[in-house]
Amino acid sequence: MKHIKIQKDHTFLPMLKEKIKTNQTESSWETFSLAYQAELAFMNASFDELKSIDHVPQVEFLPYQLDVAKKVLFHMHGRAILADEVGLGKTIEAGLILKEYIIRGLVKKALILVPASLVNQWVNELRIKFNIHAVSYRKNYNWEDIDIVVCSLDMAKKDPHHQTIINIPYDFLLVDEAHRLKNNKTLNNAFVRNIQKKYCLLLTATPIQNSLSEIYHLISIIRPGLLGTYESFMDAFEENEHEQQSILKQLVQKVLVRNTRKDIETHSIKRFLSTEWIAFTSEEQEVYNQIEHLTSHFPPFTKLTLLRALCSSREACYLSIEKLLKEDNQPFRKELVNISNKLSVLPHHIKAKKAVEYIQSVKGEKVIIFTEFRATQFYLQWYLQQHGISSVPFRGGFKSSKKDWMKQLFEHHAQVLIATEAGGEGINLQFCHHLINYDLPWNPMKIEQRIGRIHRFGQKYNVHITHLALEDTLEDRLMRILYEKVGLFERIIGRVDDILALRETPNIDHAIQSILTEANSEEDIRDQLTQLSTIIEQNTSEDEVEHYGHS
Amino acid sequence: MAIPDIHAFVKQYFTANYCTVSEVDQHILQVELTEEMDKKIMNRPFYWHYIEATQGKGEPKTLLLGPHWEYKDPTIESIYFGSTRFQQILKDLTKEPSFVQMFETVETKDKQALHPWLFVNMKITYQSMQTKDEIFSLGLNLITGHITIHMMDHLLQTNLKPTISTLCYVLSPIITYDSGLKRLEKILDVYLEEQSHQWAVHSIQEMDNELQLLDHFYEGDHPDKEREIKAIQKRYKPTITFKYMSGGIVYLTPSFQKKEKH
Repeated sequence: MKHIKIQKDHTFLPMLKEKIKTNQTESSWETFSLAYQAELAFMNASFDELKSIDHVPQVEFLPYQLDVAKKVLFHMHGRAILADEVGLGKTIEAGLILKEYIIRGLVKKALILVPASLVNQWVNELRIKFNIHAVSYRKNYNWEDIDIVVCSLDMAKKDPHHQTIINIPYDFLLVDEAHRLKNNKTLNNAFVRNIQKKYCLLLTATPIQNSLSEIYHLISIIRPGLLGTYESFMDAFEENEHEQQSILKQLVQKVLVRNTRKDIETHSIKRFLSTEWIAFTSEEQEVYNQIEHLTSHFPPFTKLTLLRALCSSREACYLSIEKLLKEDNQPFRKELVNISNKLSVLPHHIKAKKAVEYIQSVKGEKVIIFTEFRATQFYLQWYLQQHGISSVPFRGGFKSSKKDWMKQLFEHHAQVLIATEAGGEGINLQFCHHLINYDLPWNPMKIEQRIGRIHRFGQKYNVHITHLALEDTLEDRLMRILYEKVGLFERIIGRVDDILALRETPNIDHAIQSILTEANSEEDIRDQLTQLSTIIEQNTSEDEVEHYGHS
Repeated sequence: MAIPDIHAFVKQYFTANYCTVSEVDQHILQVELTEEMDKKIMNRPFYWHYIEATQGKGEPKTLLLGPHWEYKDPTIESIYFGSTRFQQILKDLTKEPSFVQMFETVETKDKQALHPWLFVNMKITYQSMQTKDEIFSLGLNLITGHITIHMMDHLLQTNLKPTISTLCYVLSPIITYDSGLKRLEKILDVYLEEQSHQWAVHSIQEMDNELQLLDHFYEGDHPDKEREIKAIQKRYKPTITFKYMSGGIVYLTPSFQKKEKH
């Protein structure tokens, strides 16, 4: 009892006495009893039940979402990393947690930092789903005056906002797409650490993208010291001390919750993945071979870039070459000009034809096309138009208002949305259930992010994903060796245990790139890629055995 | 505890505030606001300012309120427990403490004495890493000294009105207001003393654990460490807060107390 601070109200009883003596009482028993009922309605009867559910009858929560909210509120005490797979409703979980805190009177001032393109979406979801009236930050607003504010991380971290924000004691801080904080040397990370916050949620589907240190830095924002010092944490993994590692895994589970699609069997929407193998036309194949057999002095990484570009479109390849030709003292000018000339007389890209065939086959249903190249994006838009197919472009570089507009246009007017990689994050397009991967990114995890745009809550139909891959090219290798093992990657990020299993593969992007550029021969590439996936496989299966061993 | 019948509650609220309420159909209420209510809940100060400045006659709005369905008719407003409008009503009702003086309605042919009861409704909030509220309605019979902790529950089942019924008279209190209020406070003090407060013990343990973690992370004194210590204390330090909500004096027949005992 002596450690508990007791706050009594000493004004009420004298006031009561005064009112009675002077007959200044209300005359309506009805109003009086309504007020009492209202107080009962505001009461939080229990330490560990969600009171907020009563407030939002219009939202249907799935059981695992309620579990996440309860876990974060009642066991993690409001500091957690929500790491559900893309599309499982992290926003809903976070909104519910915030609502519960507001209702319980524990949060008044909240700061929500999200990518610029998602600001409006967050404001809308909080209002429509949770009746939380958040304000999207605009110039000249006074930070102190807004109780619940949504702002882009990029804007908030700049002065003068930066300085103002870190002087405000926030009750609640939320950072969406929190993998942007994974590096402790960045301004993003330092800024978020410096914000005064009682409760803190970090939302990310990929708490580890490339290296184990990322999860360490994220957790250090949530609960500094939980994983010890950076050195002791990394040592435990490098030296392969099994006992130490299992302790660390348990610690991570204290602050990180993750659901995967596999875990959630109730989600009945299925995804159908298929790969359409396409052969280059003989003219195209000729140019491809020509690039591939460029002199061995040609920088291997540049060669790889050109090959990838050609697998996407003539235009992408042409622009890459143009850029190279602009360099002073370009030693391979002659070869490049030669290739460039050949490109200019190539017929329409075989993939574009296949894409049109696919779009025509779905009879007016909406389709998203992902490409890594902007030149391809432009080309496709033009090419589709020639075939009477309406499309809108989507890029990471668009302003958020333009993104919203493009999304609207796609939903209501156009059949196809053509997005570049940067568009892959954060837009919700569940009204569409066809996706074409027009070309393939290095990192198979990116594919998961793309699919997550449509295979998410609100999707009512099975989703169809088609990879367009060119036979006997670089894409062939990527596809056969790595993508057929996409299942593996899903398993790696599938569980907290597995997240830590990434220790042996510190940087997947980098590993793949260096294999492709440094290997001497086709066999060498094949061997090394196989080796890479075996390493990943071993790590994953070890943990799977551990996990399923208990059940 | 949510409110079971929102429809009835809303109707009572607006009626008690002198608005004309009618039922459009089974689900939809039409509420003609008074000028006072319009100013209170419609959030249009500029309109009313303009009306006053031009000495014109303002037109209060009429609301159409229905359950949380989607309406084709945009003039119908959804009202349900968590809706902004309903929360606004609840906040309006509870924003200030309220006080009453009421008499039990009695139909009698003989003289009937009424006992004065002093009562308060109050909320205790326990806050640490978790929060919980308890609501008490304490009543004290100022003649007999009898105490109940379910006063409102009983009062809500009793017919009350602001004036005394014919042939009834009130007894003057034997216990003074001052000493009555002290007795009620004492009950709460004893109640809190007697609990084991495990919720606070657990929270302090958690707090100590987290504070220790910081020592593993920051070497020596660090401004960041100070900030984290503050945040941890905010999350875990236990407090108990008293909030009095309402109260008053009611005059009741002696049979009221007997009712309570069963």
